Amino acid sequence: MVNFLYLPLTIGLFIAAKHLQQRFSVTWLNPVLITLSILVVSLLALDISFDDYNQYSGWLSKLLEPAVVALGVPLYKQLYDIKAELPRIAITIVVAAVVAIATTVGLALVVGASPEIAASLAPKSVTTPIAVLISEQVAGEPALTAIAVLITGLVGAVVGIPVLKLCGVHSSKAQGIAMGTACHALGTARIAEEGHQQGAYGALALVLSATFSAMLCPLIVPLFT
Amino acid sequence: MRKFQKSVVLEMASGLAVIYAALWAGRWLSEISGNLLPASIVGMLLLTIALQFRWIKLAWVERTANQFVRWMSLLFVPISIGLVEHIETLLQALPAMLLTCALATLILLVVVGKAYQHWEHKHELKATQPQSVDGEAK
Repeated sequence: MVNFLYLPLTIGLFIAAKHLQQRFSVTWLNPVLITLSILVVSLLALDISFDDYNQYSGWLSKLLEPAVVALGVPLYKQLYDIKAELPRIAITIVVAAVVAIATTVGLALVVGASPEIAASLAPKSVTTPIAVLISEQVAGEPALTAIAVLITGLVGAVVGIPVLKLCGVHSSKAQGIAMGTACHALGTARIAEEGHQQGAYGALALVLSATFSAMLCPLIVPLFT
Repeated sequence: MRKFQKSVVLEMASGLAVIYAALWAGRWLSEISGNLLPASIVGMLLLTIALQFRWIKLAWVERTANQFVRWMSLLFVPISIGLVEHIETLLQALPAMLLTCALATLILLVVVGKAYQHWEHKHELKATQPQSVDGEAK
């Protein structure tokens, strides 16, 4: 009966958290992280099942697929400017996707994670709507993948730029591509604050790395698990 | 004012129509190709191609697409809430997950940044020395 209330509650919390972040302009006050923490703690404390929560809120998940399709618009806009460099960027990101999947799955197994968890972590650098689809394809657990993506994005958003500068990466194009490839939308949002060029390259890298990872994950993950 | 609202509604509607058409086409292509790529990614690529070849106008989808992209992070909250069903697995796996995600992300970030910067630099050197013999342009 009360189940329909979780949907407006989720949206309301998210909008409030977004305002909070804009007010204080602190990256780690991520709206998804805040909404998620409050709702998860509440559901666990009040012993509300996920099925009850998801009965109406699941509608939002159904909009993920059209949202991914909508990314075609920024991609088209970037393509126009970046055409000449596209082969170079594409090759960099294909190699990066292989490195990302192999190091993540390898590291996870080394530190003692189960094969299911290692598979769930494999698409951690990909934007969530696509990462959860990849996770299902490689027999991972989408909920764990969503958390791994969030951790990855927060790591990149908080320490990504200092680490890049420390290692001597000063080119704004290279910074944009690195953040978009390694830490998806959260990293791209952070690097876009540094300038338009970083943002454009970040957005392109985000979309390309998601596409290549979706193709490569089902090929690479079974080699490890 | 009324005219403005009417055009907004029309733009949102045409945008939704284009995006869902691309998604359905993506579903179909994904299915007949043995699910090589998720349907939504195929749809995204189709939308990009359609814009590139001027099959559709940017104005038809731009407003709707911008809204989708803007609110995209909200859309993955319910999926992430699914972790309440796996809370024990998560708590058990959390140290390994944190370590793996943080370390692998930083490695990737530096490798990609370094590699692209190196490549870009080499390309610029070549571009500024058009006379030098190819392969020895350093």
